[in-house]
Amino acid sequence: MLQLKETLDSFLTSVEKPARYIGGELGCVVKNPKDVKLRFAFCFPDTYEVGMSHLGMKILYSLLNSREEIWCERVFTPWLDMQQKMREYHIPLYGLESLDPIAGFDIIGFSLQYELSYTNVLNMLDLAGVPLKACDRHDLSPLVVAGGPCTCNPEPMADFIDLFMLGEGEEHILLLSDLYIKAKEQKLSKREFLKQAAQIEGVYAPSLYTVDYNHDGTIAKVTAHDGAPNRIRKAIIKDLDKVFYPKQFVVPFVDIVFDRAQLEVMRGCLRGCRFCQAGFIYRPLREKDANTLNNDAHSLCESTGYEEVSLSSLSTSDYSQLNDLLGAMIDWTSSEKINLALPSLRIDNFSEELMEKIKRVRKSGLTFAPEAGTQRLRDVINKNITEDEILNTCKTAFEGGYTAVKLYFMLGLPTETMEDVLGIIELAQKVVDLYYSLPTRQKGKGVTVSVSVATFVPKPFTPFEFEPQDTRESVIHKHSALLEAVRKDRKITVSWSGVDASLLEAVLARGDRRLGEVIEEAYHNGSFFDSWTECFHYSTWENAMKSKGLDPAFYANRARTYDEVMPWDHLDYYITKSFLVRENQTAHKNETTPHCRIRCAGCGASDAERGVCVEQR
Amino acid sequence: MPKGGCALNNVRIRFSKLGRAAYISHLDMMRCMQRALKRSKIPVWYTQGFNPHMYVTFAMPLSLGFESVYETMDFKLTEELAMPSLIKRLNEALPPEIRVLQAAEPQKKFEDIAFSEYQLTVHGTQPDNFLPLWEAFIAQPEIMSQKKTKKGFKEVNLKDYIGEASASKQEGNVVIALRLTAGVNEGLNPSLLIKAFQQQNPSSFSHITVLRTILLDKELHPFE
Repeated sequence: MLQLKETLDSFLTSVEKPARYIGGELGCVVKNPKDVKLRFAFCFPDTYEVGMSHLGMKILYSLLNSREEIWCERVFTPWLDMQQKMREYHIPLYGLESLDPIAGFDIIGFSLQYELSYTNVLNMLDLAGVPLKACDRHDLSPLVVAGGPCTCNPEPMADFIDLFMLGEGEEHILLLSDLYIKAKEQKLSKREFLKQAAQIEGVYAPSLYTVDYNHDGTIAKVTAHDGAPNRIRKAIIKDLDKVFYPKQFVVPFVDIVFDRAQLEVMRGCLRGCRFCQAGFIYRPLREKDANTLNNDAHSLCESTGYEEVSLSSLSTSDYSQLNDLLGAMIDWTSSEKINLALPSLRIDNFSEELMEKIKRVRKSGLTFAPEAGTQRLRDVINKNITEDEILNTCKTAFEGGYTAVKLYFMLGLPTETMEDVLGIIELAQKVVDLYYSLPTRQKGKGVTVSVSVATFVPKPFTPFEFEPQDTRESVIHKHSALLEAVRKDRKITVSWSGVDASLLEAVLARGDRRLGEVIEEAYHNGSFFDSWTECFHYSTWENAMKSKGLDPAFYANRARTYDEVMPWDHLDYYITKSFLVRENQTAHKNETTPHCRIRCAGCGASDAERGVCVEQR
Repeated sequence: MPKGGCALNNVRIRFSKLGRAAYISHLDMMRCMQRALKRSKIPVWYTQGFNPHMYVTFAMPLSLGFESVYETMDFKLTEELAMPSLIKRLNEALPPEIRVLQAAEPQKKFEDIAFSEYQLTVHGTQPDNFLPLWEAFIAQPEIMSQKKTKKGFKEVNLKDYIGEASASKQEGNVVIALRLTAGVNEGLNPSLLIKAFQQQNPSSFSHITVLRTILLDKELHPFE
């Protein structure tokens, strides 16, 4: 370690924000390597600022380190300038706590949060000096594992990862660690260990499965070997209220994306928006008790010294004890001068008194996600929100002094017509008109409505997993139509995210194992940090696909039949295929499905016998 | 208005910033200290107004990558607090490589700072080769260099800022003791001197680490 520190000292001031590469923050855990049995490198395949903001990593870091015999360290993808220096000075990727090379660790674990970070996984293994492919790593250590939402279809990464951890990590990461420690003592072979690990619920060992393809490139069947289960079910926490939650966060020196105490109020979502993968793969919705949360929040603020605390979950306004929780938190946050940051909430859920108190919180711009421009299309995607609700919320905001509104939409949703596309601008125009109709508006101040459109990406385990993604040509045509429609009004600005990045995301999201070669080829030809616009070059990917004889359109733009074998069909996220088919059919009839608290839609999550599913019966 | 709004005592702490903490930038250091004060529950005075914040000021910003045993930060208390207890509580709340060494009422103004002393350690060099080069470098009547000022770049003679610059061999390393003009308006960053030396003597060493040892007034009394 000392030697590496001295080498780092010789150049670190020449890279941007060097504090990202040196550790030593408050709350980071340092142990003596001689006292531990397992060293875990927790890798987030993006920059320090992004990875350090991620709540899941904080939870698992603290959890693993709460075990005396385990030392978990943090690793992020060094930015380009640092990578260059590391190669120049022959510094392998190291853990931030010990500054030891992670190639010597027992387990290297990746968090797969978005498809465009896949090349960064290869990049990090490469920087660490670890062979990229699982079959080229013969020893038990380092074992390369991965978790996170992308593991609901991890097939494109199957060549590189030894074990995928499906579902919630708090329990199976410890089971796996214990099994590993035992295997290390017994000097088990890697293959033998993988066979045993595959018996843990939620642990998927891709090398124990073979995939056969049909002539048309679709999957014929997936076969399990060596006693591995035919279907791998995601892990789910038995009691969310009793689950481990960190008492301390690592408090970074540099400014990160979400630099505050975060509180997970619940898991899962009851809304069932048909485009939203998170809305399905984290089911069923389970809440934490308001008292537990209030205590956790208070002790977290005390241990970190953060001046801001936020609530984190999907659709936070559905948390049934929100009033109690906010009421309790407002008391101590205001006296201790801590800012209580709230996600966008439905205003009708609040009491007057609470509104008054919350007004003290500093105003940021208002953002709102109608997702689609017409009611018909919002019904198709099951975004149960009406135009009146949107306008009412904007009205409250304008009356409260806001003059800027940001609206998020998706383009290329199933069944979308030109009328739906132009509906986006019509809705934005109504918001502008609403502002000028208000007598209370601030004199001499104009309004800006920013319309931000993303290209819809169909995702596994959603009712739209069968749908083709809109083609590049069609999306570009729709962009011009939006610009054309908005030309008359300077109060509305339109922006969109890259079409090619969405196309790649669509390919990888529903991809199969054959894409492993493509990812490797793209990486070798210079693709990494693909989620950073300045680093993304679609042509590299296009060439990689071509060289492996694969067509992006096969993955992204092809409609799948209901009976097609999906690459992820052997993974069980409780959500049944018959439910997804039913929901897809309902969508095509322009009909909505009520949320879980109104009526159970029979998605399959009730099999877990937890949360909102048992609340009702 | 925050509780106990009236400011009682002014406090100046002196702290060290060593090892990994050298890479904390000045701006980040400020946030780090504010969070440490918050964790320590020391009754710090907040600014009044719409957006109250903890009022802390630092005497002389330290360059990124430098270590120091002589950093100072001023703040105000709203309640009486014994200094040994303040030091203890703040140290418990700080990362291990930042340590509070002293706390007392400020004796001097920031404007009184006239000199800063540094200890430079030269890495990757043969002391016997390096020392004569350094002596020759310092013996020059003029060391001209471009210095960044508020009005842009200016050609200055670095010698005008050097009070002392003696190099010696210590445990196989070269260590240079520097006293440079420092102050609110005018001062010299040792990195300019290192750069000038490097330009005249390319590849004579690998890198130099810098430790600030003390801040002094014009009578060479410690800034306290």
